[in-house]
Amino acid sequence: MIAKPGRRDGLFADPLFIAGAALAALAALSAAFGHWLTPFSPDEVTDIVSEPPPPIADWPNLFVAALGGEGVHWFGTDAAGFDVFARTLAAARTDLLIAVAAAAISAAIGAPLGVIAGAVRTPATEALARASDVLQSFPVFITAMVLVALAGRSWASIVLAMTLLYAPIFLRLTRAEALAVSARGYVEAARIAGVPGWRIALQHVAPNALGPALSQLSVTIGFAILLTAGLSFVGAGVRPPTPEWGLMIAQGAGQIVLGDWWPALFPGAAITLTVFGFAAMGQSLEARYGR
Amino acid sequence: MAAEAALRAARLTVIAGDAKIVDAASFALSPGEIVGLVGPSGSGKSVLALALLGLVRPGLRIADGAVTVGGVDLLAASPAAQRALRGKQIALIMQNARAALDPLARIGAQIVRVMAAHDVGDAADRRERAIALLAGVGINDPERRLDAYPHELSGGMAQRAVIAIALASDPLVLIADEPATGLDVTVRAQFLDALWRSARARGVSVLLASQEPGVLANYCDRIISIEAGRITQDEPVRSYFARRAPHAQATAPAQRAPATADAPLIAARGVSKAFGSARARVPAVADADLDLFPGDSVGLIGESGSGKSTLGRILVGLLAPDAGDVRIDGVTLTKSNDATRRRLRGRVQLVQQDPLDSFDPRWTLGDSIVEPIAAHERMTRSQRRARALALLDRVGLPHALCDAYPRDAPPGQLQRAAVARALSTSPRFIVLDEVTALLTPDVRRALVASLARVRDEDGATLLFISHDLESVRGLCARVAVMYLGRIVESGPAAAIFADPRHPYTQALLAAELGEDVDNRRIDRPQPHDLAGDGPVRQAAAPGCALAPRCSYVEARCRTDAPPLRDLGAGRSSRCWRAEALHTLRTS
Repeated sequence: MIAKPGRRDGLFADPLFIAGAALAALAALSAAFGHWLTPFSPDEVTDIVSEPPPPIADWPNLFVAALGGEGVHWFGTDAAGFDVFARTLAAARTDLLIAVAAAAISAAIGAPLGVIAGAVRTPATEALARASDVLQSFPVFITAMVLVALAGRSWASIVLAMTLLYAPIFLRLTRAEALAVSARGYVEAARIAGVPGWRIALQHVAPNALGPALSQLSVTIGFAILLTAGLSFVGAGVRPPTPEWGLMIAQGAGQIVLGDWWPALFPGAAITLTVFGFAAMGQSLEARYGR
Repeated sequence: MAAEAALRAARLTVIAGDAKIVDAASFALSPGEIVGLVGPSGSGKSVLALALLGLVRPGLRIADGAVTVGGVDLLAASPAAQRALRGKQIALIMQNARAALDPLARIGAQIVRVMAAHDVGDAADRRERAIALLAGVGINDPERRLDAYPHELSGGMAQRAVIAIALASDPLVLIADEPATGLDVTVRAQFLDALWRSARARGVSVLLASQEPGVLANYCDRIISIEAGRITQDEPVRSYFARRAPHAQATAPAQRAPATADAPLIAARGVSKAFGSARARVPAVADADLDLFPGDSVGLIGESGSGKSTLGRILVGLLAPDAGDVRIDGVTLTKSNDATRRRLRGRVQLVQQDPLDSFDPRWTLGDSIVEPIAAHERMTRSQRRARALALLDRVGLPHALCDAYPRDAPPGQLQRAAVARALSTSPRFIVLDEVTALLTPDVRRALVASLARVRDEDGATLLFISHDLESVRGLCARVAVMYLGRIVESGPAAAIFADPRHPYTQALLAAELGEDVDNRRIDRPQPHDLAGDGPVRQAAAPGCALAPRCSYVEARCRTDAPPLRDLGAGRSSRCWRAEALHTLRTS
């Protein structure tokens, strides 16, 4: 039997994956090392208020100046005098930390429960599956707003809220896959041989049912970034003046009518590219390992 | 005859990159001739069949050659002209023909659609033509069926409706690519009969690609053999089978006499199992009695849906029976599957139908093979490996397979590896559930031979569930026949095959496509086919379940359900007229 062509070809042969991974890596790098790229602090105001970014034509000269140790407001400054470039880079750290933590915790809780709920069918695991359906039926954004309002506007409570929302997705996805795997011949063969149920779940069902959760992880990080930004945009997320893309857009939005487009545009572009990157990566992973 | 060939292929070559998938194939089909196309998997049969219509799958290209149909070179024609020829002059029936039906359109509409696309007849008489076509493929009450949707037809009827659609445009040539693969024996015979009859009646030439010797022997006039893309033989069907016969007989394993002992190893009494919701219970097994003695090899035969697999799964403790009493090797089955399996562990084993599905894709075959032992014994890595290699030896597989993954092994080897896994615990009882169904005939024979060896060397009791009668004949000493969840006949294999004592067994045997070219199905009358298109479940109807389809039916059959009666000589039958069947059949 010939292996299906293309399926196990390296992920890096897929342009979608390369593009997605590159964008995600860019976001991760700016989260980790962004502060090295600019002398300005994301948390300190400068005297220059609402300065537009320098014209593109000037950028080569400015690079030389910047390398010489001069501070350059690449993306301009906002109404309060914060350097938009420094804050856009620093916000990657806030958003990625929250999003990756939320997605990872959701997967770490949801996927194993999903394997159990799919491999071992008892009234208790059925109840678990139904409970997760109920959780999933809440409107995501409003639920998160309420949860953050109740638990306080800290990043920990945002992560908690998102875990409650995203863990059921992993549970449901993995359970469906585990149910399908449990009906496969090799599981039946193991049951016939008297292999204990927990061992079948661990050795056969789990490894073969976790593929979709893997690709969902990447997609979920993207959604979590959007939700983090969305919450702070409506004032239910992290507190200002924490550098955070949604918060920056909210603050910059008022100024767009004054012609100051830059405080909102750059964080907006950062969100778009990062979310696209994670979504593209997830898409590519799903095509390979989803089923 | 060469001058007026219905279809002529000349130097037809299909390439994939540099590789020639079909290499300069030249042959001709005379009008009304039925020609078999035979070759092993991957020999280019299907590619050749499709290329005759000017079609190739992505990645392939027709590099050279001509296909002349009705005097026109199809490959040289423009794409639009090719489309017009396709369907009009040359029609196609693919594997899993039923999937070609549009589920949202009535059968009649689908036939008329083809006629309209190819300007056959005028609008007024198309309906009449469609009725004639449906009648031609053996569909009863064609006028009513014309207005049926595909899901309202039985499986066998839907298969045959596809033939009617293919013939609707009055083509000169019909290409059929493994059209009957995966069908039940009875449905397959009906389908091929219908194909053969309607093609003959209309003078249509048929190219029938198949790996089944039985299909080739019974329906073809001529056989074209293809190997690695090249046509190696083009000969009359008799000479093909004359060449082949010695090889086929050499691999047939020897029969054994039925085992007898005082106490059966497996004793099932009144076993019943139903599926579905409380409101719509569908009985899968009803009141089944079955004894298996130590060292016995029993064939359990019957159509799909007869309850064979369900009974097999009950006997290995995978399913709990709703009612009845099952004792396996001294263990009484209980309602709890888990408890049963714990007590039975290792003493019973199951080999499943789909070998690729029965191995974890992430495990090496060696690890999978010793899984049943490793589940109960602590073993080191090297001990596991040694056990796996020894088991591979038992079924005659190379040691290299130990470290291979399932996707790297061909299905025949995988199925033998599945047998090796079943043998790992030295079971007393092995259920083989349709293990030959997905294998090609040659691989099938090799597997049956190695099962026969296992049976003789290990003395394990085998329950061989199959609708492949050839394999049953080769392996089993006793046979039990199931119909609609009931065992309708059982007894020594030789006696049942020679002289069936139940009308259903008779029909099942008559539908078998033997390889005997001197006794072709199409040459002999078929007086005792069952009526209708497969089992009809009747809720709580009194009388024999087969009565609506049986040609020997008498008044008593409709009112009283016959019990499984002992006929002596180890035989029993669930037919009131069992003793008289022999004389009825020959008269």
